[in-house]
Amino acid sequence: MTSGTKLIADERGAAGKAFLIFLGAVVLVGVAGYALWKPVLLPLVGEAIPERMESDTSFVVPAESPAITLNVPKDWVAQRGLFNKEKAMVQSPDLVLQIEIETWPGGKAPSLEGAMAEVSENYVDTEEPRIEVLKEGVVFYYTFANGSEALIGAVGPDAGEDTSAKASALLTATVTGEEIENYLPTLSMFFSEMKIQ
Amino acid sequence: MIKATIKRVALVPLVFSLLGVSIPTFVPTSWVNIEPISWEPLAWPGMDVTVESKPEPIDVTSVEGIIGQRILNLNTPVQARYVTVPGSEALNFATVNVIKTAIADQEVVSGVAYQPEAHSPGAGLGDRGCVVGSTDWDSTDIIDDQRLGVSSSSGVAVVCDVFYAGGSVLAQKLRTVTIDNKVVVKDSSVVVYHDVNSDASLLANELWNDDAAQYLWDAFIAVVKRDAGAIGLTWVSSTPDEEIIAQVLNGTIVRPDATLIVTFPPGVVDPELQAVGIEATESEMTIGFPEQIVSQLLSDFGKHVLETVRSGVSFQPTYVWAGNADVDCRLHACVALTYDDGPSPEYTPGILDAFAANHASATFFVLGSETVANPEIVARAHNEGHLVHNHSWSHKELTKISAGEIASEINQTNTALYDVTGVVPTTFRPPYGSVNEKILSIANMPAILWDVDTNDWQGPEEDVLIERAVNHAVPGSIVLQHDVHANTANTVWEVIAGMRDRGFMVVNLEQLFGGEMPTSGVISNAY
Repeated sequence: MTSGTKLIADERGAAGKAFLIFLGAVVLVGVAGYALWKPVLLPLVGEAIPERMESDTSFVVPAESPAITLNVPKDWVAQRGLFNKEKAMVQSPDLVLQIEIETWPGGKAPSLEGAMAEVSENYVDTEEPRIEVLKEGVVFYYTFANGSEALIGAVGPDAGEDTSAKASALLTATVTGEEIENYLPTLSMFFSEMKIQ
Repeated sequence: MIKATIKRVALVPLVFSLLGVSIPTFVPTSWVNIEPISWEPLAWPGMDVTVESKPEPIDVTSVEGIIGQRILNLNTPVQARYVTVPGSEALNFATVNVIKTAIADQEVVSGVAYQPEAHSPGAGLGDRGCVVGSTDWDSTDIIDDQRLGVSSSSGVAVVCDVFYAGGSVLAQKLRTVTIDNKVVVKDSSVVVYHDVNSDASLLANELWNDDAAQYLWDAFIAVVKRDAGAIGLTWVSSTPDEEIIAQVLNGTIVRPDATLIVTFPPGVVDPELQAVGIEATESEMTIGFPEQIVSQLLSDFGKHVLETVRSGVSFQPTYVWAGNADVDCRLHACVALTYDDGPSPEYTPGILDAFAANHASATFFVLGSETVANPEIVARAHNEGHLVHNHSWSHKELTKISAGEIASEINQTNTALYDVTGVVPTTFRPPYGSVNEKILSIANMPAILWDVDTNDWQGPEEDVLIERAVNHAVPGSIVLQHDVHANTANTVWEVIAGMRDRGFMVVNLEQLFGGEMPTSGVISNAY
């Protein structure tokens, strides 16, 4: 037996090394994310973070060159699109009702009919659309979809029954685990507070 | 700087998209520690009006003071069922007016002048008043039902339901269904409200003021729109269809909880409904308007009716004996049952009981000698609305006695009756029906004889006596009986029931003669 330095063989495999490296990276990213959340990431995401209203709040979409102004009641939750500043979403205090609002950049809004076609693409089983006066000067061209689970439509300035008139925004209301019809009064009240520019 | 950063961040979804990975547009709330708050969705504002089931009519068969009526006429032809409250002239006038209007229309169509009809024994016309719920029946079911309709191919049926009877207020719905060649050509309803205290009787539309039509119409449109999933809050006012809204207002029913119920028929067309894809409403809709919602839309009469409803007291009309009530014997087949030779302490009270229980009236030709012997019975008969007239003092055959004796027989009895009733008789019935010009001249009043003689004094079997009284009467008949015989007293219930079964109203002579007694002559009937 020769005395002196003994070489220790590396008995762990490549997979183990990779795992340790990945684990270290995750921890590193996590620590970095945590450290950078408030000073860096949060300002980047900005209003895309859902926020509960502390009082009735005027909320415009988009934030710049608004096409539509909403009144978001106290305790409701509002947020803007993460990557699309023309979009916004508000939710009822219990988060069951979600209303998505989508506008078009640079005044490139389609007609009510075109907007309806656009929003209908994502839904099945849509009913015959209707046009209804939401309030003075504002009409809503809408329909129920997915077996009345969703209310979808386009809002625009009142041009009577003319569905080729320009739309101001797409509105999509959905509920989680409930019937949309139970939320029609809420939607009606919400829409009646809406202003279009 | 921030904008540039956002643009860089915006590249992220592009990268993910290229990788075929979908990312959410919105950050889920669960990622950012927003907890749900308990919350109830809103109800429709200002929509205290509610969609209701149709109000249920009430059975007033046992309600004292409400009398069921029925007319069946095969010649004109018409069948009508309704209720009246004796003594409430306006109520009865308004109700009967609906019947008379239907009859007048049918006279024009049929070319046959209306004459009251009695029917064969066993006709079943003792069943009177409303068939509960019949105003809501299909029109053909009404026409086809023997209890309500007409058996011919043309005719008119009037059916009724009572929807409220409380305090001094009665609400009766009358529905008129007219057929021509077996096709329904008219089907209309009206609800008549009666206040028996003030004897005011108004159609249901008079519960409302002038602003009500527009409000009810707008509310109805709003309810239909919302049922159809419309979401506009605005009550866009549109012009009511005059014919439909008149029908709606006239059908107003007040519920015991002071809610006013109106029913809109199917087929309502309105631009507001068309905007939400409804060309015309498909079914009728009943809507309830709580009093607080419509208090500004009520007339004074409407407010009074609702005050009465709120009080919750039971129907309390002043009781009026049948003999004191208005009866139109040009509309109903009437018959007068008359009783001679009484009063009899043994039999007359039982006869009076039978008439009271059946809300019918009779005429008693009493002897003066028996009147002074039994004044309490005469007083009772008079007080219960029956006519009590002169049958001489001692039942002598007047044609066989002197002028002085005739005068004594008549005048003594008149005095005796006046002493008991406070009323001087205006007619007399000569004993044995023996009368001549001399007697008429001395009596100075008309002699009332009969056209149906039951010969009850001969003591026939009771079924024979009933047959004699009931089967031979015609509208306007005067039936002779005597309230001093056991069989007459024993059969009075069956005789009254038999008359009613044939469609007769059993009335006293004054009613038979249209409210005015004859002033001279010898009269045997009123036809």
